[in-house]
Amino acid sequence: MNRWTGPGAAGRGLDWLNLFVANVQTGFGPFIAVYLTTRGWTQTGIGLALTIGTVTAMVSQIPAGALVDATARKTLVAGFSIAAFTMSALLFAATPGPLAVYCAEILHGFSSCTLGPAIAAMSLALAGRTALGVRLGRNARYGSIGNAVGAALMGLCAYLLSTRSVFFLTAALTLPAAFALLPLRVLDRTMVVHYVMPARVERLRVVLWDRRLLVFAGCALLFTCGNAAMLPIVSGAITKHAPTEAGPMIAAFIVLPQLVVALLSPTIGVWAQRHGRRPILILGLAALPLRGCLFAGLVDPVLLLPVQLLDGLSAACLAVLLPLIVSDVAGESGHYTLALGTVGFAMGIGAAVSTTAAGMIADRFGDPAALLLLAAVALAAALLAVVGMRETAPAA
Amino acid sequence: MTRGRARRGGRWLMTAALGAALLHAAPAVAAESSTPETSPPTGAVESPPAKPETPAAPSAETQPNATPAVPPAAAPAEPATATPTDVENVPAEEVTGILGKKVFGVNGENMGLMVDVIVDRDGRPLAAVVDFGGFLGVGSRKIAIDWRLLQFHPGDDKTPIVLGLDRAALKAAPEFKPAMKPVAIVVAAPPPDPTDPVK
Repeated sequence: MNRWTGPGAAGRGLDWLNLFVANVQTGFGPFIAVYLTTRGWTQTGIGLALTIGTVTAMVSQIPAGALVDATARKTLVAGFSIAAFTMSALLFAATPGPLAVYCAEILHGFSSCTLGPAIAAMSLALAGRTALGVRLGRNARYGSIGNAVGAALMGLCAYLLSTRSVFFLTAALTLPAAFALLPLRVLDRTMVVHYVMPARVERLRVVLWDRRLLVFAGCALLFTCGNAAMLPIVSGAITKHAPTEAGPMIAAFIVLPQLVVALLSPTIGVWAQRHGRRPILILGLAALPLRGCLFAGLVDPVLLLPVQLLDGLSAACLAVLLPLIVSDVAGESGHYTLALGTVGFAMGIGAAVSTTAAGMIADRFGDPAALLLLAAVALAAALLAVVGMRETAPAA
Repeated sequence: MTRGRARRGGRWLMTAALGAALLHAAPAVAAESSTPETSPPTGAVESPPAKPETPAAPSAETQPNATPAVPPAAAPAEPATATPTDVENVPAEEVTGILGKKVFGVNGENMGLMVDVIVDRDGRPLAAVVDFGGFLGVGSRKIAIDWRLLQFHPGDDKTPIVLGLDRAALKAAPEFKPAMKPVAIVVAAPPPDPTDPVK
């Protein structure tokens, strides 16, 4: 009884929520292309379905952020988002007809844009601004454990059972995610009091034109642009150079950085609170150009693996800092999740440019050229942070 | 609420059935029209270097060109289109759709999924595009593989498609891109070099 109602219960609920949500998201990644292929879909049809999902997620970022801002009942928003994931997974699993798949893509695209900001808002309400860094470190730790476990479970499911079973597993994992929300309902009451202020238009303009938010969104865009295509290029190269053991090696490439995130992120949350956001941001951004250059210079997959651990460092820093810096700027303005959506939109643009441009360059000039270009873009992100980013931590 | 859900469920089922019907219709027709043409070669594919069908092919390295200078022995598509109302019933265990089926290697290893078929002007399949490698969709590569290296087992649900190569043979294979001008097809090669892009 006490375990689920006491003061620590909400915190534990948030831990589990992050874990299971990350679990669930794993199934909706690039694996959808594999699944639709096994259901006899053509490459053109798969491309269309994935584009529908990507475009939905892009255009939903900012409206979804505004929607989450507009209500104090963030757990309800999170609950609906999780239910939409369940529906989406079941649609994929049950009837892979085109209409069902398009609906599933739209459902998932929109609800991932409401769920992330809702979790950030609940974290802010739970921890308050002064302890938010530590809380976000925990979020990142449990999220990365969920990612790693999800990838392992779903890889096993696809290998031992069928590609379809992955979506049944995904749907099943939304149930514990929904249960983890139960102890968080107390937050909806506190949020009305502390965190939703009259959201007026002038206030919104002040938030969105805040120089710190703009510079950070620019850094996030450039970072994602340098980052998104890197793992696909490198894992394609692994499949090429080590075709016999590519599967397990790429699995290691996906899972090991998550373990690094799980180990580092609580420390990074503490550092961000103690030493400020700026040095951590520069550290996380600077790891990416280093990683790109090392990838470009190496061929042996065994040597690539330690380099991939740098991905964990970047991911841990960004996972903590994204909600933290935005909360420094907009946390008490009543426009927190809208501001998060804006940064998410910038990252969506970066990801789209990244995969298209890097793919074209890799075709014409080879993988190393594409990796070096990605590293150059990532370096620009780090330089922008060094030159333009001010410390956002509240003065102690 | 329950009623609404049930109605929606019904609609999904209908679209699914329709989609499945559409999906299955195309390969079935293709298989029927081509069965008389290709069934003799399929038996002979067991030894990849032997070239049962293509006329101009002195060595296994030679590449079937995208625009063949050789006149085809007979235009294969014509008999099928002459009398469109005819229906031929082929036993289910004799034919199979292949898109999205798993492709297995000579040693039973999983080689990937059949994603496309490349044909020449006469509609004869030149190459299978196989999506190979990767983990949960990350890092897979599409490779075009000489059609004659494939064996099809329509009655066999476990290994419907078998490729006469192993994974290591695909090591240096160039990735298949739809926009690529000369299509690079992996062919069988008695000497070690497994790839031979068309120039």
